Amino acid sequence: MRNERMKATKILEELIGYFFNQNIDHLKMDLNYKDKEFIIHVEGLCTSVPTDLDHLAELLNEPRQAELEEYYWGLLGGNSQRQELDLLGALVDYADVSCEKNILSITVHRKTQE
Amino acid sequence: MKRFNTIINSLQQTVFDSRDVDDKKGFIIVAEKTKYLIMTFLGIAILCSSLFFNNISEIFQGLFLIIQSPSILVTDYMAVGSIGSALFNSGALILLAVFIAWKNKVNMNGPIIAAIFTIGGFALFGKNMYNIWAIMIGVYFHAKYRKETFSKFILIAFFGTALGPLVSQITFGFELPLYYSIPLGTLIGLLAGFCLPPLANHFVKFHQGFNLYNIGFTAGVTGMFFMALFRSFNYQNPATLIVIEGYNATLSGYLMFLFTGMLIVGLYFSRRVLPGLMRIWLQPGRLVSDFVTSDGFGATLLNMSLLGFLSTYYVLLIGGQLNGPIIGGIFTIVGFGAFGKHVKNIIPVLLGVYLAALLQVWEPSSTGALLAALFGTTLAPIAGTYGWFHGIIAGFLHMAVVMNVGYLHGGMNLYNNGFSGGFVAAALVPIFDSLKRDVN
Repeated sequence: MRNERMKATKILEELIGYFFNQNIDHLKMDLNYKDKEFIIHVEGLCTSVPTDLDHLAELLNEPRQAELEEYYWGLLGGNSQRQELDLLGALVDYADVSCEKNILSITVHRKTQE
Repeated sequence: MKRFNTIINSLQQTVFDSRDVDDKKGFIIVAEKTKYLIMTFLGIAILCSSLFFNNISEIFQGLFLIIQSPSILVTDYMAVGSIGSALFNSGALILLAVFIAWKNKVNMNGPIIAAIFTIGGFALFGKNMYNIWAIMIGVYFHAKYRKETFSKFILIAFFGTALGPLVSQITFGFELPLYYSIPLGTLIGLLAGFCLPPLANHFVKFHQGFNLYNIGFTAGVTGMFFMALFRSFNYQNPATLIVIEGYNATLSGYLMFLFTGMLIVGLYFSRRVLPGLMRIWLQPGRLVSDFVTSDGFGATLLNMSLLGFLSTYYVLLIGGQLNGPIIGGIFTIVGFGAFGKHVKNIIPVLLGVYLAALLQVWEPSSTGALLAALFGTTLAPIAGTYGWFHGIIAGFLHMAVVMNVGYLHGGMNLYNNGFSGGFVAAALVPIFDSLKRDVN
């Protein structure tokens, strides 16, 4: 499994992009890279619930799409003007998405071994 | 008879039981088995349709000629062999691609449907049962070298067959003895296939997903290096344009029949037709836009069918000729109707290319200009993201660029428009982004 750490970085970048698009500038991040999976958690203070939060939760809990992995993962992150949430959903196994007490919290899980 | 009835009952059950309505998503979820069945049926239908044009003996004689063709751009297999043999080749390659996808347990989603239609389309003018293997096996070797499953590279393997003419040209075009040219062609095909995965991943960032035929750009660069090497050994590729003319009535009827069939199947699997299509039309279409996953199989089929009608009428209205390459272009647009293209984002690009052809030195109804228009829709995400005006600019610029890049790879990259589209998108996107005022 090559590039897994790079993929973790890109996934984190994409999540940061989502928070910035919601005008959330103060973030707490945690990246836990384990043997068989990595978990990325990002949270920040939000003034209102993002309108597309349910859609995001749905996307991030779609099944992984192996065929997109090696070809397109480079498109994740690194762009302030566009989001690649569909691709993000195709690259993570599942996610916990919530917005409670003005804290927007997203945790994504990706297995690194099949 | 009893066994036949059992098979029919099982098929009916598969199709009718597959319409599982998902209220949360608002569309009908179609079972993978059903989607595979429909794609298999499409392949069989195209394969069998060859018998309407030629008898079996003519088809196999034509296939023999097709396999031996150097296949560099633009070689119409309908002219090299016959209409029937080109369609047989297309149907056979579609079935092969469906089988490979099924064996690798890949979901029949937007990207795979786009890849299968692209293979079917280019099987009318450049891909055949001889020249695709080395490329796909090269990608397979890369997957094994990386100790990964082939399913992760399947799209690169499918789209990478754009370099099929590299294998055919070495084998049959350079007039080398076959005992020498077959292993050499295969070896170079394997090498090209092996190199494609890292290059495809790298180049997709160059145009930021705004060029839908990313492998076209990747294969263009790969083909450019090989062509430069060939020229350094004094091997040249001749300028090629072999196409049939005068079959518009028959072939347009054929395409209308095909797209009407897709429309009916799409309607059957759609819950609400217009809202489903509207959801697709609202998307910019940039890579990665899998309409099957985001908007359902039914709406996607409707979108694909509408694109088929639109692109066929474009060719007929302009006064162009339907032949292998043009139908290949139409098939590719239809396939990408599952993966980024819709009527709203391709029309500006078509207009841009048409305007360019009117003002520049090319005749709008010529095969070259029509191919630029049809395949120029690789830039549809520019229109989808920035608007009509930007899409027209992209199409206009694409027309000029695409006529200049073919020399670099000597016609050995079938996705010449994807090669050009990569340059156009990479140049225009940063400029268009920088002109936005509301970005932090």
